[in-house]
Amino acid sequence: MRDGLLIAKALRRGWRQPFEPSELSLDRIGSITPILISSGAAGLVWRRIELLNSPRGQPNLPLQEAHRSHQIHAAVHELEVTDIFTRARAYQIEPILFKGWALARLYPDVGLRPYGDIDLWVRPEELEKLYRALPSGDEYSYCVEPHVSFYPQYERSFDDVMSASQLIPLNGIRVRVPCDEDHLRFICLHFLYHGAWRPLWLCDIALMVESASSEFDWDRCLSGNPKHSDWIACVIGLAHQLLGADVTGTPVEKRARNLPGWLAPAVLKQWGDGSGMSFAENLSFSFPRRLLKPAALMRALREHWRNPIQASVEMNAWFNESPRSPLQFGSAFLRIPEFSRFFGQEIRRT
Amino acid sequence: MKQLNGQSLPKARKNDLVTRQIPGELLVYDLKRHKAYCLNDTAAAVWKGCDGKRTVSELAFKLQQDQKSPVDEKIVWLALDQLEKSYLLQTKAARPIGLPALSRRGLIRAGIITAIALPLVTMITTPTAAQAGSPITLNTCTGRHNNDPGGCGGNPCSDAAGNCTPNGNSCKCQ
Repeated sequence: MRDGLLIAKALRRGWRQPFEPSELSLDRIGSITPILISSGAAGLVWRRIELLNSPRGQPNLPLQEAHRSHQIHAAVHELEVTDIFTRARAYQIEPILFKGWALARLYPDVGLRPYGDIDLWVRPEELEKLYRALPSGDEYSYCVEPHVSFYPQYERSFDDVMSASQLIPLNGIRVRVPCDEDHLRFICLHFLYHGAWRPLWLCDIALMVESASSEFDWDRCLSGNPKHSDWIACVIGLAHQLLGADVTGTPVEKRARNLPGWLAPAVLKQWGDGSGMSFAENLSFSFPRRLLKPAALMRALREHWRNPIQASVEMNAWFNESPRSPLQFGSAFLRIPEFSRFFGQEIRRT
Repeated sequence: MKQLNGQSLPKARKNDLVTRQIPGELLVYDLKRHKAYCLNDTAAAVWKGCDGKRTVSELAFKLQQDQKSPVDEKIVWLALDQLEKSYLLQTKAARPIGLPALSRRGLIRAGIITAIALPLVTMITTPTAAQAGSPITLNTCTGRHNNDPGGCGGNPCSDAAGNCTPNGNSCKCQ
């Protein structure tokens, strides 16, 4: 958890302009640099240590290099997003872009947030057309991840989200992104579904909450099953408690100050462990290869073990003070059929 | 290749490149080779000046005017060497006979010290951030490049073992 705490300190209010010098010493940041880079938080931290005026010259070259990389890749990513929307529209498809550029545009500077896949939501009947619209063969390939549905707890249909979506100018076209209310709800659930492993996601949430205008419709963001609304309030509470997001005057303010005792430590432990739950899904593929390597096998089993956050979500549990270990066992039990299927497939393949 | 009095004129490559200017540096991404480069101010000034019409002497003069400081032609040659090695020139300049291979250290040893920074072109190599992606197919994975934005993505492979991870500049399910 020590590294997790350091990461939280390094990122605390890091999205705000003017940038403030880092609260952490360069040595401390040096000790968590690999995690910062692998979790995509390097740009945010670099901008703050740049202000420290180290007497030893360049204080952290890997972070600086990562920031440079984010900056140039951002330029490429923006061209890709533009091209994808142009191609999709040529096929009469209107996708909605989630995460990625749709969030990065909110940051005060380019390169603070790296991009990964391009997540597009399209109607199910448009999926095949979208694949046809994308470049193929020897053409440049894009990391596009098309979706036809999202988590059931999102409780929003494509048409709901489309009806309130917004068009944002980019490189001469207009890119469709969800309205801020639908987007905040989505990224909170995404954070939980992936076991909270990436600290940058909580920065995204903090930034969205702080940049919400006075017209931000909290009812639209939170409406639905009260349990899931509470999950979202808890995630915003994490952004407040761990990263210093200002939640004053929001409907979640009270909940943000009063989170279940296990929640923040679970996040910090996950951050300190580095990449996590997202990679556990497919580890069963590699189990046969690990059977003869006990240490690797134990590591794989540990990675398969859900953290309290992801277990709670998978078991559709309230975020309260009840112990989480029964949920973690329950989650492991529920995944046995899926695990067996993957394991069998891999045995047959190898 | 354009020539002036037998001297070929360097021309910067423009196609399939994406650039971003940041304070003190120009970042360039090569869409064909999937590599990113960082040019310091001096290298960037030489690169931008390579319009296929200027000689090396003229490039040195332009740099001298821009930087308000004397510039030895060898500095321009050092920049051109690095730009060429990074595939950022469409037309390279023919080296004068007898001009040795240049290096930053060599120029400093030779006493060519100027008020301007020596040109520097470096490849940006940094581990890309791990992604939390959905499963992708082997074909999708192998179609990616490690230096693309998002890199190989780290997505689990749905029809092969492992995750989509770097294998040199390409990507592989492993």
